[in-house]
Amino acid sequence: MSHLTTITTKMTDPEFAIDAMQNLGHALQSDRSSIRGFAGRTTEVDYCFAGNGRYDIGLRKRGATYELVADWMLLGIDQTAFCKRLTQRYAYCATRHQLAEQGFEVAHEEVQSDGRIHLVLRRAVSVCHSN
Amino acid sequence: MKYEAIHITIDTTGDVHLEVEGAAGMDCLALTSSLETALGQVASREMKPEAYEISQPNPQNLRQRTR
Repeated sequence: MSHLTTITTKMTDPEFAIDAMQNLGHALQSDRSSIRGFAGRTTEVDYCFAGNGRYDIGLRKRGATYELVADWMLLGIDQTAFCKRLTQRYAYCATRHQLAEQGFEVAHEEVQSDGRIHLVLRRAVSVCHSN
Repeated sequence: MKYEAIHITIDTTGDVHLEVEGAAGMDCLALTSSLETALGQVASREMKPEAYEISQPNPQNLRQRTR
């Protein structure tokens, strides 16, 4: 090993955020720019996703990062737990995409019993021979 | 054939822990810099002994130097 790094994930890339939401089963509603909430109220968002059929989940850019917007009580979803799951899935999508672009392939992948995702990615490199 | 490998653990809050294996010298930092940019902010970094080894020179450069 040559270095150990810990990164605090921030959702800055909309492509990975959309992939992550769809991985969690919430389809992008590309024709909508607002989410439906309590008593027919709507809220403007950058990306709208299907929630439970009646109410939606949105992603809205705030500064450099994307935040989740929804009426969590009406959706019946624990906001904190969902945010963690989405951030984990975002990190997974960003990692797979970025390292694939650098030629890395997945050698091992597992979800551990405590919910952590373990990945090993590797790529072949040419070796210099000196005579 | 030599391999470079990256071991990654994504915890349940989305924090990412990664270890680079098989890259000598400071090349290991270049391997993960794009990923670090895509993910967010480096919270901590620990360099391992391999990081202080000298990277193997490119034979193309060697040939140019000896001409």
